[in-house]
Amino acid sequence: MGGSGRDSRPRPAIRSALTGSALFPLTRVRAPAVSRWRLTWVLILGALAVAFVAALPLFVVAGRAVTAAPSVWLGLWSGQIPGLLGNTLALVVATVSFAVVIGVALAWLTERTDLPGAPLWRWALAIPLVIPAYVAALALIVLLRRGGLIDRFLTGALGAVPGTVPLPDLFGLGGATLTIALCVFPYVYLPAAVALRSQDRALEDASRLAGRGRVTTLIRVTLPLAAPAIAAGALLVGLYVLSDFGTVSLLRYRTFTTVIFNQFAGQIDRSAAACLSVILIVLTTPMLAVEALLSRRGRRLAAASGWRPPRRHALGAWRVPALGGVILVAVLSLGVPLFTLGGLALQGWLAPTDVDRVWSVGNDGLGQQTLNSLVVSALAATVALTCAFAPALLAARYPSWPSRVLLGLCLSAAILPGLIVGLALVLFLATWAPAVHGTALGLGLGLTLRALPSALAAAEPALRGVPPLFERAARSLGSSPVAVLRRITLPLAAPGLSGGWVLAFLTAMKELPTALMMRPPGFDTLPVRIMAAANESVYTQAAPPALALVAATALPLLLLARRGERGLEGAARTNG
Amino acid sequence: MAEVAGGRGVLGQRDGAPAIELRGVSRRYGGHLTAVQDISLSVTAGELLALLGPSGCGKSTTLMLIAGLEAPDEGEVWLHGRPVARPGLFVPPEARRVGLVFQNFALFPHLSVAENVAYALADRDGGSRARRTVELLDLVGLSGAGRRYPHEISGGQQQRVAVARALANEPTTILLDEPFSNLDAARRSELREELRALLRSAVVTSVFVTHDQAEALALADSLAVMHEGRILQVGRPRQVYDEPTTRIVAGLSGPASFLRGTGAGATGVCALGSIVLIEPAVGPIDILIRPETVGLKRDSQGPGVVERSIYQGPDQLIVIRLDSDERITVRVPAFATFEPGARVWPRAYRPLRAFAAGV
Repeated sequence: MGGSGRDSRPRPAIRSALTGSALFPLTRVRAPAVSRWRLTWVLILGALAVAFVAALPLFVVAGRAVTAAPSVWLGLWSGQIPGLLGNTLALVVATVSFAVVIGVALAWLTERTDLPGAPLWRWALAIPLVIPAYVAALALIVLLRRGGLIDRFLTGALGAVPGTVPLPDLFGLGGATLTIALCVFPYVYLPAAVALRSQDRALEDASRLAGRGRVTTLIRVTLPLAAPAIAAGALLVGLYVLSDFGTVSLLRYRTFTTVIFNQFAGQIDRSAAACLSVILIVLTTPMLAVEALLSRRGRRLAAASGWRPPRRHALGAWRVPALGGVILVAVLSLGVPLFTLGGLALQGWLAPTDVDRVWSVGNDGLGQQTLNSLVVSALAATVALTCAFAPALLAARYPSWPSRVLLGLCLSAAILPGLIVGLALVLFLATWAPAVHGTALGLGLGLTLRALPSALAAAEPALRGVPPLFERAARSLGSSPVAVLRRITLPLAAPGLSGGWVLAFLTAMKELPTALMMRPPGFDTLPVRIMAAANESVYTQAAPPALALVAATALPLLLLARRGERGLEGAARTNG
Repeated sequence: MAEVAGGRGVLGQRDGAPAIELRGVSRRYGGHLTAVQDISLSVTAGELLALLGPSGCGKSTTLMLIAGLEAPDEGEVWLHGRPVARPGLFVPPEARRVGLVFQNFALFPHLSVAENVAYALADRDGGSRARRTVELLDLVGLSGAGRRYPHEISGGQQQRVAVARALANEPTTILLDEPFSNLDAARRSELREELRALLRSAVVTSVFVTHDQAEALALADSLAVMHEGRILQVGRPRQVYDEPTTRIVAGLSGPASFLRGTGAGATGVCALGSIVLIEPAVGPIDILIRPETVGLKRDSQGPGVVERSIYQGPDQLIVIRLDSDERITVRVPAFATFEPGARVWPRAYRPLRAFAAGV
């Protein structure tokens, strides 16, 4: 549902004029068939190579699991698996439900009501995306644990008896759900807001005139029409929860990822880790199926002509509680982590304790870690975007089942938790390329694989969004296919491609488990440093890298969002 | 029949309370921009009224005011003798029993054709709802298409689904917003007749909005011409076309050219020479030339020159530049030949209508 009801009527006329070769009889002569074929073959070979590397983790893990001794499987099945399944599924269901409820409610409030300050809230509610859930978990632990800031304040300043202050239990299902959902609800909020904003006013009006009140209209028309967008967001939340390692390990909630990591780190038996990974991958398939079903249904929800923006409902007496709810979410998701970490960082800096001094010994410093993160993530994003180009262009320009399969293989890394990508690469490199194993190159490869789906997910629609009409026009004016690519396709797709680079960069910056498993000794990235300090409960030393990480990811995202107003949406509009 | 309250007198008999009545209704957007201004209108039960006017004249807003999708800033809206909008009272759209066929049809894309129609049957139980849905799809000739989705059927079929949905809950009034603007020009007149028959058989009061003069004249029982937020004239289509009360109405209700002239009682003088007026006038006047009211003769002494001819198949339109530097358009049979540059004498077949200049 592109939010434009703009008239695109002149276009078919132009298109038929250009495709009709009578008008441009020279076209076919000037564009030799050979060069077109050569370009296509380069694309196909490139896409095959990328698909092979992208699907490698899947095959390595699956192969290791299939060849595992039956006793390993039996042991896991009767021992760990039932409890892990219960824990993991409970966390997925609770977090997705919670994120969907607050994401959709906030989207409706900011897009469909007269909530004061809606433009401000649109920004504030998107920013939590830059705070990794493990950073938020860190902040909440510092605040709420027994002996944490709130406990100490209440016992110290207000004279409560130590150990009796009632504190919410962070460690467990409830805490993990709340922490993750407050970080990832924008995955639901953003697409839901776009869907609600781009609905045609006439549809709700038609429902009212059909004798249905506001509530029925919301439940039976507005929300079902937004369902595909909401489902896409819910899928991202679900995949995030399955792949999350940092948050659950900080909050001591046992899921597949924590156990896989322990199996792996303990080196007890790596095939057990592979078996558990396969089950974790299988868990993603029902979610993908539901989302695919809804998005197939969503395809027929094309915007009608004569689109008009939807009406905003008057909140009336609900204005104050609604505003309170929005502020609460913004404070919890954004204010609490940032202020807590800021306070901690200041404390560690102004009043360092012995522990702080111990930690800074042999430490190559925040600047070096930030630089490590930036350089390796920028390289990974650049390589990922370059690799994404061939399969994306192939899928966009030659839509067919082989190109879709290639695209799917390249995207398959998206459903693989970073932990499994890391595990698979370690297993693979240790066997086949021990020279790369444990080097910065290996880490770069891991991050590239993690970043590839983000780059691809943005590059494919960006390239598809360039109307073939423009390419035909350039060909008819005598440009070679390569020149058309360089002078027409790439510049027009540039906003979407740069968006893909930023998203790939963010994914690589935040990636924790791959970095933990694949980094060379002594090569600290920001996430690695955060986790190391947090695991030792030296929170004053975890805070500075966490703040640096948030700042380093927030800047490109803000730039992207500002450009989005002109660039991404402009490109989408060109596409009609 | 319809009337303009406080206008040019009663045009039809009142038969109980009017089905729709607007009393001095104004609606402003953003404080000062006036969409409709002090309009009064009453529509008799069973009548098909067209609101005709250029885009932005307030005709769609008028429709939304009747439907309850807009609230008037001033004035009152009455349906069947009951107020539905006036200061301190606003009946929401779902409680008005008014059906609306949207310009883009606004079919729910996530529901099948039958589900779209059944959606409007809120206060029925399952069996009765299913029966009524089948009945309505039969009525609009789509009994086989109930399980299909809106994007799978043609524009004309979508329109019929929209009409069936609007008629579903037996509303007293049907409103149609530019009902034909989203349909192929080729099939428009056919669909127009189908829709007219359908509305007749459903025995409802209908109001439709259009900017297409031919559509309004062909379809409506009565016609209200709107301009800049006001209703200028209401009457039978024939009457509005033949007896426009102002120059603006004459221009809005059909093809028209105007000639400056001077009235001298029953006749007037203009670039065509002396002509007979329908109504006596004195002083400066604007004389209305409808293309079909004037005939053409080649005449080297004539007061005009053929500028160009627009061939239309059955007939052609000839644009003539008069020596007074005014232009008129005349409709002549297709077989007649009038080459550009030929000197012609346009003569009126019958008495012409004139308006006091500057009105």
